[in-house]
Amino acid sequence: MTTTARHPLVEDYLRRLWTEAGRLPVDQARELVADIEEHIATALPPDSTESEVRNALERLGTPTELVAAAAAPDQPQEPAKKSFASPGGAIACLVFAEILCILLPVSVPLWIIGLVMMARVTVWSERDRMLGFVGLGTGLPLAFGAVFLSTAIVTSCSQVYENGQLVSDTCGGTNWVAVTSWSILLGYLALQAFAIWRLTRSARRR
Amino acid sequence: MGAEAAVTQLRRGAVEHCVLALLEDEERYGYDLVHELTAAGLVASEGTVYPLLSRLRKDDLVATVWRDSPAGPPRRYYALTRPGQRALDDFRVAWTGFAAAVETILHRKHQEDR
Repeated sequence: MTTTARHPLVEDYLRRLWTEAGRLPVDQARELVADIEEHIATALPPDSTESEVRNALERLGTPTELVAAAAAPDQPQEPAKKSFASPGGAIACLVFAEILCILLPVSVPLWIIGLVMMARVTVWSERDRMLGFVGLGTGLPLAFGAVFLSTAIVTSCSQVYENGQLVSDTCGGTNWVAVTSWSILLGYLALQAFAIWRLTRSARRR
Repeated sequence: MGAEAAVTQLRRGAVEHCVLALLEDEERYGYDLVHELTAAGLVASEGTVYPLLSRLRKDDLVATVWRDSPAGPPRRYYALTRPGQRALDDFRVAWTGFAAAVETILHRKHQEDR
């Protein structure tokens, strides 16, 4: 409708609306999106502030609500019918997959379910979703890799004794590999904690 | 059912006829209708009015026409059709009777006490 650059929040909202509207007949989806685009163009002059944009989008309702209202006129217009993909489910599956990483028959299916949910949950913005994939989606492969690597490091060091005397020791000294891996691990765990906090907060807010 | 849920149920049926009533004397564009209904406290989220308008149009109760706006792109205006006017008249009669009946029952106790 408008050719002027739209606010990133509006772009994100419309993208989520398009995705949600996928379950409507094409004509209906197109009409709904066009109506909402027109509404936003009227409600928000090009120089609107971020808080004005947020307010206007909040008053509109979530994409899920709008599509539900369009799809089922006789159903109560309650926000969001529960789909199998819930924000809590996505986070829980990915976290448990990471914790249980060595039990591959359990962790791999959990991880896959978590990733699918992460992709499908509509309450998150694209930025939140990316954070979810980077912070939590990488959990299982990295945790598995870390377990594998640490086993390799431990078994690769050897202490050789002759007549009770230590003659060769590849385990001693400041182990820079260990220090570096611990720092990376702590940084990564902090990223994960941040991702969980941020995703939970945005899921609650909507 | 909580009071809020009950009102939500009532509101759903009433809102579309309120749209028809708002269009009785003049054409309006979507944003204007949404604004009026929200200000009156009749809709919880503004966006849900659009699917409703789309349904009214499909049922031929309202018609739409594109008109130039003083600023910006052309706007879609909504107008009441003849079937729309009839639906509104019928609803007015039915609603008045219904509201009076509910009113009587709701306040029966107070009147008996007096």
